[in-house]
Amino acid sequence: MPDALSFFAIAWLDPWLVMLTAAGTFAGIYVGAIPGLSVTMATSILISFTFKWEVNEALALISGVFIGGVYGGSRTAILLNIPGAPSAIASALDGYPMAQQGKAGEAIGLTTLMSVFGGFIGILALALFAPVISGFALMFNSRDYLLLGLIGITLVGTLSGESFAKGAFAGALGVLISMVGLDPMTAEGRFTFGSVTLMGGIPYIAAMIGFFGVAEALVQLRQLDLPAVRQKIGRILPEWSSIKRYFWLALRSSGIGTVIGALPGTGGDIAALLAYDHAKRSTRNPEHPFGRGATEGLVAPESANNAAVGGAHIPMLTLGIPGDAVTAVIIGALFIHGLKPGPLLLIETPHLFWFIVGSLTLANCFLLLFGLTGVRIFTRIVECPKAVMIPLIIVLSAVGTYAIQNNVTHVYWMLLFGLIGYFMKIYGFQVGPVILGVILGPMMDSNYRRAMLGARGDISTFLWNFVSHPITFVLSLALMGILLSQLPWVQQWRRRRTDRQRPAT
Amino acid sequence: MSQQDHPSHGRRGERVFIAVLIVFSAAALWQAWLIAGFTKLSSPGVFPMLAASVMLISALFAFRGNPAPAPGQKIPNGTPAANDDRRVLPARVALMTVFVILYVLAMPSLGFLLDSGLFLLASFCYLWKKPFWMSLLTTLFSLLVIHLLFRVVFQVILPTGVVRDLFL
Repeated sequence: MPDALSFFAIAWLDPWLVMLTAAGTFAGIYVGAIPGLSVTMATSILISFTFKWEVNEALALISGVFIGGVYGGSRTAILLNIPGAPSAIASALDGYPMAQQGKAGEAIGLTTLMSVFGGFIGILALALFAPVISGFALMFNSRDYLLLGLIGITLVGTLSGESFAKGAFAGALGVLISMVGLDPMTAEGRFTFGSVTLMGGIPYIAAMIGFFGVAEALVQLRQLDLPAVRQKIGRILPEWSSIKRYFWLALRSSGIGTVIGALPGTGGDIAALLAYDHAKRSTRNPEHPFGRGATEGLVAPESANNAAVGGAHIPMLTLGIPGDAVTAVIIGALFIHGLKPGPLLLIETPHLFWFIVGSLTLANCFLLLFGLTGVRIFTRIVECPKAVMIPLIIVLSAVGTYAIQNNVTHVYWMLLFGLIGYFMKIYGFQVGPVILGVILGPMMDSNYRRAMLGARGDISTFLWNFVSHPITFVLSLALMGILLSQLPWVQQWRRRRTDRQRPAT
Repeated sequence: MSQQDHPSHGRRGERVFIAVLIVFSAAALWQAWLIAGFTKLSSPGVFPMLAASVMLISALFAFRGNPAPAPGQKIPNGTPAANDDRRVLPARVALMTVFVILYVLAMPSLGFLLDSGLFLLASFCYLWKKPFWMSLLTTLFSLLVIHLLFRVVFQVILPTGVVRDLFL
């Protein structure tokens, strides 16, 4: 234990490492917050500077960028309705309506505090329960990952929008987009039409920037003449009563975030969505309805996605399996620095494990500092004339997409998705499920096929496995519950019950 | 996700849009079937077929459910929907869409900086309604910041186009 503490303290006592952690967190927040620059892109570009550095220096910067980037993605979600990262999709649902009501400062202040709180819970779990949680995650099989993917897409399809049919269409469209290219298991072409360009698949970042950046910019053009909402930034630090009120929700959401983040293949995106759903179901009387500026709808995903950072380090460091796209980039960087993320990392190089825990804790402290001090300048973004903002968003989206692989074809994809996204938004289709579908589609496809191969292609065995294994059974019940809750008569029953309760309260 | 931006009633062209989606979904299902048919339940074509089927069925449901508004649905005052232009593609959006398409298509030949400069200047002049010099100054300042951020700090290689020696 003393050894662990001394390794932990290295990140705090070396001024150069402290400076790097601070710089990484600051860059992560602001790069993650720029529309068109995703946290994955920020991480991959910033990490590329570290390849020639010492391991500790590189890890300090990486920790800062990761913590700052996940948080930064929520700022554009709140201010512009453009999530900077998939993990901020759920934050836009209520964060943006809060900004429209002129409460951007309050929303960002609360987001910062809850992100830091969630971050500490995740790091604490990483430090205390890494071996236990990684053991639990190993119990998940391919069926469970398939179900987790389905639950993620179905949840975001049901959470907002005007009809479940449109949400389901959007999710399935995303899955279909992700299927374009060579099948990773058999190298057979899917929807490639003999084109070499299509064989490489469609990058999800191009889809994400197109659907969220370009499409949102075009939709905003319709309301160009509306005056920008002046943000009340008098109070940034949330009141003590607010903190007390949302404490238990933040704690529960952080728990969800940590566990979901610890599952290999799932990251902050699903964690945030599940936490949002949990908040929606567990909050009886929100001040504003969910989807129209409910504070609970912001607290839950924000504490969950930052808790998922600590959680995502668990499979990354103990199993060598990335939790999401960002951790996949980080694993690549760790290999370049000569580390071997996997079960032996804790045994062979415990100093690095504890150093990472120390760096993450320090980065979380810097997050509190930079998150609360930059709010006033940042909220000015929404007061910038839309006539200036919209063309800039399009240029940033184009350059952000191009920078992924220096490929102009990706920019064409972005444009196409932007135009499709515009019409989808106009006609009440949500674009969130499309992105979730694009990201989770390949994971669901491979796990479905593994599960089917495990059942030797027998459909009855395949279906029986969904009820005969405890974890799979619980997840199947959860999925069924979500689907059943969308049936028209269930919705009517819930509406009637709400109407009956309203006069009483 | 502008979930309450646009109400479900009175939108022109929605049924046509959903009909296009139905045709697209049916074509996608056909193409998915061509990948491997029904040879095996674990073949590469099964998941694309499932996705296309969900698309087709949900698009049919959306078509059937349109344009009935959700019970009790209201347009809150002050939300974009309340002030929204009812046309699907207002002239301003249509013209900006043309600008964006030209911008993206011209990028490889004109290069990033020149192309972005022209796009930003044209867009600011059209949308901002301020004196030309203000649009020009804003364009130059934006380009400088973007160039410094992406080219100098992040070292992203951007398309140089015909003026390769000028913009590196």
